[in-house]
Amino acid sequence: MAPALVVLAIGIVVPAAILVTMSFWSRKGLGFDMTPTLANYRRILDEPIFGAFLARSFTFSGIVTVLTVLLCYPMAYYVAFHVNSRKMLWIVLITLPFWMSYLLRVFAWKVILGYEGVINASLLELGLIAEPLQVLLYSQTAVIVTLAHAWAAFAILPMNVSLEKIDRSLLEAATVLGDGPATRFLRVTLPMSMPGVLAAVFLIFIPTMGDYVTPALLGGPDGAMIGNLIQLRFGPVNNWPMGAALSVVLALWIAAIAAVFLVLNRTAQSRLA
Amino acid sequence: MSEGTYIRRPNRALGIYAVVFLVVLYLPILFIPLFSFNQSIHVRLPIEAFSLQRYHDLFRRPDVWNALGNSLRVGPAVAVVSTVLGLPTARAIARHRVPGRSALVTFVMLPLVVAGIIFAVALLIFVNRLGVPLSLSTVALGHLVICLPFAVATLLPRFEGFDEALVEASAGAGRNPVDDLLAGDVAERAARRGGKPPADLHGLVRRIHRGAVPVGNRTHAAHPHLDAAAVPARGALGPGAVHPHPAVLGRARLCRASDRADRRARDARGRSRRAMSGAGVLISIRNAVKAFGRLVAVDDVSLDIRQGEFFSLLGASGSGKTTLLRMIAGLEATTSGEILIDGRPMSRVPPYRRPVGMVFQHYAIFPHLDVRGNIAYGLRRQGLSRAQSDALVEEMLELVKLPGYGARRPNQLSGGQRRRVALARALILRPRVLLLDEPLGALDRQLREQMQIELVRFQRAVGITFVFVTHDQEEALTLSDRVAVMADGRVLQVDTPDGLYEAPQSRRVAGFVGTMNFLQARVAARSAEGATLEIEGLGRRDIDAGCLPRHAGGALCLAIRPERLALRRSAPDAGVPAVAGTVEARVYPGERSHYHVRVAGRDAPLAVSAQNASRLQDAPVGEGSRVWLTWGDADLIPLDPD
Amino acid sequence: MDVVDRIEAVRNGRLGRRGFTRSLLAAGVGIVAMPLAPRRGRAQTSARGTYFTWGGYDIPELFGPYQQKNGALPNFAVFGGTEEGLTRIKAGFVVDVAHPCNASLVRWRDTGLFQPIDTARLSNWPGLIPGLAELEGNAAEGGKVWMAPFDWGQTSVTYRADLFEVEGEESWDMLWDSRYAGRLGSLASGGDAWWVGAIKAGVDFREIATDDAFDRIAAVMREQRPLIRVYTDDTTSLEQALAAGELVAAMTWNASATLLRAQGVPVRFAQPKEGALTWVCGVMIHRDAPNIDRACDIIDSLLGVEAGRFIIGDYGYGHANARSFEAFDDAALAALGLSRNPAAILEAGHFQVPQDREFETRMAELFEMIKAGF
Repeated sequence: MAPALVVLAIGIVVPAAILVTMSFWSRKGLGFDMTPTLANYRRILDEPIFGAFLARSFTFSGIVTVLTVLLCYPMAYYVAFHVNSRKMLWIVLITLPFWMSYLLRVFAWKVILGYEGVINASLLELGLIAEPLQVLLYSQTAVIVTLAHAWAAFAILPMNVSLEKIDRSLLEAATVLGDGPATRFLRVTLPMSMPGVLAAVFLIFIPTMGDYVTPALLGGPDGAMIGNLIQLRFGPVNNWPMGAALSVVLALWIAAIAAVFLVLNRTAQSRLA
Repeated sequence: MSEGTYIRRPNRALGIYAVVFLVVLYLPILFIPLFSFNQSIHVRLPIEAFSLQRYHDLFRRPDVWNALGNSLRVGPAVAVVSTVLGLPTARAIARHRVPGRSALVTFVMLPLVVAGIIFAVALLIFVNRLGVPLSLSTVALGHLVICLPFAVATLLPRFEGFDEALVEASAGAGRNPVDDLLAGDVAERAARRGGKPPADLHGLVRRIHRGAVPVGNRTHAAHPHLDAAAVPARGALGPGAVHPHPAVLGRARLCRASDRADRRARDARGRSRRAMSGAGVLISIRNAVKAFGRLVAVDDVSLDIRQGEFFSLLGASGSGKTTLLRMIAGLEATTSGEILIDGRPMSRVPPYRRPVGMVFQHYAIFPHLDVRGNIAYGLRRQGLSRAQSDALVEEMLELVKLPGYGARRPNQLSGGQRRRVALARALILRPRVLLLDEPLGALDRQLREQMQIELVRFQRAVGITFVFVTHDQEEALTLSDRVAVMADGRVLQVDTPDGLYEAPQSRRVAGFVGTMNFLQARVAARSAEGATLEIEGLGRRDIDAGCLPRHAGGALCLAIRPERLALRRSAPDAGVPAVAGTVEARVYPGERSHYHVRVAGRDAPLAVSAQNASRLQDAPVGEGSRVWLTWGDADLIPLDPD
Repeated sequence: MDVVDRIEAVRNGRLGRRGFTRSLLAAGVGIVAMPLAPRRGRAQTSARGTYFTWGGYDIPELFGPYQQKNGALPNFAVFGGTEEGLTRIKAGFVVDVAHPCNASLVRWRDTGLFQPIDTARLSNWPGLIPGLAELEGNAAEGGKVWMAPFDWGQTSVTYRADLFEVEGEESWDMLWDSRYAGRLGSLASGGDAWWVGAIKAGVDFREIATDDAFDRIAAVMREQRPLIRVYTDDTTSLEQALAAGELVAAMTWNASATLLRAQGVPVRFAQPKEGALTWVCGVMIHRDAPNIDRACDIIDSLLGVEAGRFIIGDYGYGHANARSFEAFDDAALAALGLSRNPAAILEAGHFQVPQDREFETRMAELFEMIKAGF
C-alpha cells in the first residue's frame, strides 16, 4: 500500500500545500508576488459576489443532491429487492450512460431543453404552450436537471450496495415481529441503508459544488456557480493566487458542511438506536 | 436459505418507476448519436438533413485520431495503475484494523471529498511550479489521483465482502475464529459457575428431560430406548461377548405392532408429565404445497403440532423443512393447502399478524439497534409506555441470562448471546409458537450441546410450542418430543425420537436416523404364525406375522441397527441366531468400536457397533479376525418399500 | 472484466496475491511507459506539426498545400478564447504554430515562448496585402515579424432580418434593445464584448485602460446584462440560437452570419453606424517548435490562395493574401461585407489596440463580475 500513499502524497498533499501557499500570494505582472498576504481572503470577505456564489452553489448542489437521492433511492431499492436474475444487467444499464463523456451528456441536455428541443417541441405539439419555453435552457433549472441526471449513477450505486447488504432475514425478522411493509421499511431498511444514502449525498454534493462545466454551458448568466469563478481566475481573469484562495475557501466550506452533516447523521443514527 | 417471497413480492408501481427512470436516463444519451447525423443548423426533430458528413470530416482529422490515441493510452494506463495501487491499499485497509485506520481511509478518500475543480487547480499550480510542461503524463497523473480513491472505494467492499464470505465458509466447516471465541466463552462461563466443564452434557440433557425425551444418538445409542428392566447389568454376560444384547438372553419380541402400542403409552406419559393446560393441536398443516416455479419445495404435507410440544422438522438440505417453517411464519405463501394456527386459517393472515415468533438461522439481530432496542422491537405495536416496555425487556434479559446487557451493541455480543437476544426478542411478544430455523447450525459440537440444554430448559420455562428445524438427526432426537422427517418436500414419518429410531417405517427414515444395515429378504414359506424368510447374510429365519408388513409379497427389506448385532469371538450355543464372518475393518472412536464384518451371502459388509464396556478386559478384535454375529429376531425391522 | 476475473482468481486462490499484483503492475507500467516516454518534455516529435487555433479553423480545407507536401494534415488543438489559449501556452503546451489576434499579440509575444518568423521562408509572403503586417508590436529584429497576418474581419451584430425590427440605422444599440430582452446573445470573451462596450460607450480605444473608461464601459455592460440570454464563446451555440429564433440578435464575427445565410437563415451582419470592431489575426511560431520547416509549411498553407478562397467564401472573413480575392467579384465581396482593400474595412471600424496584462486582468475580472450579475 505504500506506493499508493506515495502517489497520493505527490498527487494530493504536495499540490494541496502549494495551493494553500499560493492563496497567500498575489499576482504581479507575469508572475507572482510571494510576500504572504491575506488580501485575497479579505477580498473574498469584502466583495459580495463570492459569498453570494458560495451560497448559490450550496443551494444548487443541495437541490441537486436531494433531488437525485430521492429519485434514485426507489431505483436502488428496486434493483436490490425486486431484481433477481438479471441484477448485473440492471447495474450495467444504470452505469452505462456514465461511461459516456460528461460533456457529451451535458450537450445532450442542451438538445432536450433547447428552444427547439424535445420538451418545447412536444409541449408546442400538445398545444400546452404557444411559445417555446425559454426557462428550460440557460437557466438554473437546466443546471439542476443536468447535474441531477449526470450524477444519478453515483447516487444509485452506493445506495444499492448498502441495500443489497441488508440481510433479508432482518426484514423477515421485523415482519414476524409485527411490522407491516411500511413500518418495516422505516425501521429497518431505511436506517440500515443510511450509510449508502450518506455516501450518495457526499458523492453528489461535493463534486457538484465545484462543477463549472454544466453552469458554463447551460446555466445562462444567472446559472453560474463558484466553480466558474475559480475557473475564470485560472483563465481569462488570470489571477491564480485569487483562484487558489477561492479554492481553499470552497474546500473549507465543503468540509464545514460535510462536518455538520456528519454530526447530524450521527445524532440521528444514535437517536434511532 | 431461499430469500423470502414475502419480502420480494413484486411491486408493480416500483417496476414502472424503474422503467421510466431508465427511459429518462437514456433519453438524452440517445439524442447524441441521433443528432450526429444532423447537418442542419437547427437542432430539432425531425432531423432535416441527414448526412454522414460529420463522420467523414472526423475521420480525416489527425487531431481526432491523436486525441483518441491519447485517450486510449491514458485511460487504460490510469485504470491499471489505480487498480494495482488500489488493490493492496484496499486490502490492507480491509484487513488490518490498525489504529489510525480511519485517518488513513480519509486520506485515501480525500480526492473524493474535495471538489474536482480544487484538485484540478491544485495540480495545475503544482505542475506549473514544477516547471513541468503539460503533457499526457501530467494528465495521467491528474487522473490517477482522482481515480485511485475510486479504485480503493470500489475494491474495499469487495475485500470486506471477501472476508465475510471466508468467515461464512469456514463457519460451515465448523472452524473459525468466531467459534473459537464462542467455545472460549462457554468454557469461561462454566469455570465461572464453578461447575465442571461441559463434559457430561448428555447426562444433563437427560436429567432435564427426566426420561420424557429419550436420547437417541450415536454416543448414547447403547441402551436408552429400552425399558430399564430389559437392560441387563453390564458384565453379566459370558466372557465371549464383546457386547451382549438383551435379545440374546430372553425372548423380547419387539416388533412393530406391540411397539406402536408401547409408544402411544409412552407419549401419553410424556404429555401428562408436561402438565400442559391442554394437549390440543396448535398448528394444523393440511395438504400444504409450496412450489417455486417448477420446483416443488413442500409437497402435500399434512401434520399436526400440539400445544406445548417441542416439534422438530428434520431433513437434509433441500428437503423442504425450512420452507415449511417459513410457511408457518407466513414468509412463504402456501401454493395450495392450508395452515391453521389455533384453528384459524392463516392463508390470508400476513406474517406480521400471525401469533408466531421466529429465531432465524443467523439470529437476524438488528445491527443498528442495541440489545434493548432489539428485544423491544416488536413491543412498539402494543403501545406500551417506555417504562412498561423497559420493564418487560429487563424481565426478558433476566430470563435469557443477559441482565445488564441492554445497552450493548450486537457486534459486542458472542454468538451465544446473540441467539439469546433473538430468543428474547421473539418471546417478549408471547407468541403461541416459536419457530427456530437451525439456530444451532453453525456451532461446533461442544457448544451446540451446551445450547441444546439451554433451549430445552428454556422451552420448559416458557411453555411455548417450539417448532425446530434441523438437519442434525442427533439434535432432533435429543431435543424433541416429536420429529417429522422430511425429504424431497414430503414428510416421511412423524414420530417420537425412539419411534423413529426403533421403528422407522421406510428405508429413507431408517437410513437418515442413525446407522443401519439393510438386508434384502425373500419369503421362503408362510405359516399361520408367520413366515420363514431367507435373509441376505443372516440366513433362514422364522418371523412372527405381526412383524411383517401386511402387504409383504415375495421379497422385502429388513433393517438392523449395528448395535443390535453382537460380536462374539466364539461360536454361540445352538439355537441362538448367529452367523460367522470376518472383521474387515475396525474404527475405534473411544466409547464404542465400529466394525465392518464380511459375511457370506452378502456383498457389503455388515456394520456392527459394540460398547467398549470395560478397560483392559479383552484384547480388541483385530482386523481379519474370525467372529460370530448374534442378534434377536425382534431387532429386525421390516420396512415399507420406498 | 479482466481485472474482475483476476480478482476472482485471487479469491479462488488460483493466483497468489503477489503474483497478481506483480502481473498487473507490469501491465500498467508497460502501458504508461510505452506511449508516454517519447512524449515527455518537448511536444509531439511525430511527423505532424501542431496548429493551435480557434474553433472553426481546424479544418482540412485550409491545408491543401501542406497536405500535399507533408502527406497528412497537421494536428489541431483548439482554444475558445485568447486567454484560454494563452493560459495553455504558458502552462507549457508546446505547439508549432498558434493563431492569436492583434489585440493580444503583444501579450503572446511577451511570454517569451514565441520566435520571430523569417518571412523569406514563406512562399506566399510576397502576395500579402501591403501594410497588413504592420501591426503594433509586430516588428522583430532583422525585418522579421512575430506574427504573420492570416485573416481579418469584424465583430458586429448578426440579427434575424425577419424577427428584429431595426429602428433607423443598424447600430450597436440593437444589442441594448430592451424590446428584445432575453433574446439577445453576446460573445463571452471580454476581448470582443468589452471593446464593443467601449464603442457603445463612446470610449476612444486609445484611452480604454483609464479608470474613467472602465467606469463608462462597465455602466453600459451592466445595462446590457439583463437583456442577454446567453454569453458564450461557442459560436455554434449562438448560430443555432439565431437559426431557431431563440435569439434575434447576437454579437458575432463574420463567419456566423455567412454560415447562417448559407443555411438559408434570413440573417444580416450589421454595419453599425458607430463602426464595427475590427481585428487582424495571424500565426506565430512557438519558440520550441520541434520543426521550423513544418511550422513554415503550416503558415504558408494558411497564407495560400486556396485557404484564402475558403476563408473568404465560406467564412466571410478577409484573407491576408491579396490574390485570394481575385476569385470573387466586387458584388460578391460586398454581399459578404468585405473589400479588396482591408484598410477600407479595418479603418472604417474600430481597430483594437493591444493592451497590457494589467488591463486584461482588470477588464476580465470586472466583466466576469458584471456577467455574473454583480
